[in-house]
Amino acid sequence: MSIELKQVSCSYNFRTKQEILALNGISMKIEDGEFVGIMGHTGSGKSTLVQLIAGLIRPNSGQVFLDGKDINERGYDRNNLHRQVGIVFQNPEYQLFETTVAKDVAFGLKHSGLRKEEACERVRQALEQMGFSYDDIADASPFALSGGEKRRVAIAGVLAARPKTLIFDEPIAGLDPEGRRQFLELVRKLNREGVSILMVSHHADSICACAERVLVLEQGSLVLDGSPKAVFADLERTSRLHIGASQPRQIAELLIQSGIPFSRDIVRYEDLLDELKNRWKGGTRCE
Amino acid sequence: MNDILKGRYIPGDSFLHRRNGTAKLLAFFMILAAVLTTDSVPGYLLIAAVSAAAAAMSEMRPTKTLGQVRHLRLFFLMLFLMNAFFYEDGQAGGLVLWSWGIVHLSVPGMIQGTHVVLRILFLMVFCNVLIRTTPPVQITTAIETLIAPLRLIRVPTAEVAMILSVALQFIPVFAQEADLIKKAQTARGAKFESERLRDRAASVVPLLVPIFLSAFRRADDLATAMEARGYGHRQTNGRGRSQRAAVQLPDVCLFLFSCLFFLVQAAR
Repeated sequence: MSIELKQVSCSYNFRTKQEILALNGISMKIEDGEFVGIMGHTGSGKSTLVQLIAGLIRPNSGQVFLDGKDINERGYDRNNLHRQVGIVFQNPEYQLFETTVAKDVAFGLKHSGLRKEEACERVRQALEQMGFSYDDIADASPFALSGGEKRRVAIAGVLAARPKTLIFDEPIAGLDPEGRRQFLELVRKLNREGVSILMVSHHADSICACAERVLVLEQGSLVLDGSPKAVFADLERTSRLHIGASQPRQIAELLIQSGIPFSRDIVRYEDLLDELKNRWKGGTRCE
Repeated sequence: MNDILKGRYIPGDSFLHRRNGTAKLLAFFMILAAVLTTDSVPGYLLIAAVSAAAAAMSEMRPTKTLGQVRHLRLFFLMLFLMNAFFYEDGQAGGLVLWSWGIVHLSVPGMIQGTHVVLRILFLMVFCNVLIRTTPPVQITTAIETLIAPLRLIRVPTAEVAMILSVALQFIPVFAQEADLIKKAQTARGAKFESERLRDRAASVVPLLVPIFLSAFRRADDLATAMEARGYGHRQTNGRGRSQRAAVQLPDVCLFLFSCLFFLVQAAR
């Protein structure tokens, strides 16, 4: 589904002395099936932006369109909106509450009008997508699981609704390297299956590895919008925006700084390898 | 959830903001007593004048001092009606307008109802002024100061104050967390804003269970952190209190004025 924002502004404590402008006149469009990374300094408005798209908060001015329809208009079917746009917060495990894993994952399907067998099948699939065996875990209490398992169950609870757009707000903070790898693998797979992904993260490596487009926010304004290569072309700019750069990009920059002619178009490890291979083939060692 | 936060301390630099917390709390108690003893029209006018003065001294718009009263209109209506219909008629011997079984609509009852509503209304105004001009930490420090004499009969006053201040500081934290969990469950399909009562009742559990769990988790973490920093390992009597503001002349004046106010109201 396509997402379009027109001149959206949003502030907390609206019309009081403590008013904080979180978003300032943002306009943009995200097409169906895109994988978009959202970066920016703490407090730059990333979370506000994704919560607006998920319909969890309303803008003070401007409009948010999903598939051409204004979601804040009277009469818009918000239940349908929540079914189409899934959002996973930083600690999704805190939202678990049911007595069994299967019931918790099925929570979002309660009001969907699905037949029981269909709902059950979706729960099974969602749990298997997250790497569980349904029969082993369905009747377990979610509170008896380990932290990492809880998180995967919570994400399964969002996947069960089969959203067309999935939003992740800081999903990899606090994951170990293996958990991170598995998570990114899953997200990429979902994206290949046609789900649009919006991922908020401070982790430039993960964003560069997955996203085809990066949005950078600064103090509520959209300051950069482009491919990872374009966004991370100028490292002075990215450090000013507090988004850093991916490891491969930093390695390339170090090589350039030490006098070795090297491409700046390197943001992923694959890019780095390709560049090195090319040079090796040419028989010219990096001088 | 924002409603909870609205009653909160608002930073500022007004006359009342700068007053000592203990003085403000004592003055608040005196005014409370004064309001409760009021039962005449001039008395209410005097209270109205004092509350207007309090609003001016805290640099709040007078309408703001009413705070959440609008949301409680049903409560006030019930309060008035209960008094109007069930007031003991024999005691006052007043005019009964209408009677049916144990229900009597009487003039004394209506007067009593008006008294109760007005008193609670003014209490809320003063309470709002106190809360909006005094940071929670100052309120707990004030309570600690006031209950300090109880230490003589071995009441752990420092611990009581610590419990109070921890509880107060967690309110905004929980409000924020509840807001986030509410959003997460809404995104999953919970119907917090549904018109149907059934939907709303069904969405209580998905909110309550995670909030309770998080409260326990946070309490556990905090206990560990406090212990790690040496809390409870030494005699607690000597622990320093933060932000102990000196008592200044205006603080004393504030308290004396509130005493005077009480005496005037009580003597009437």
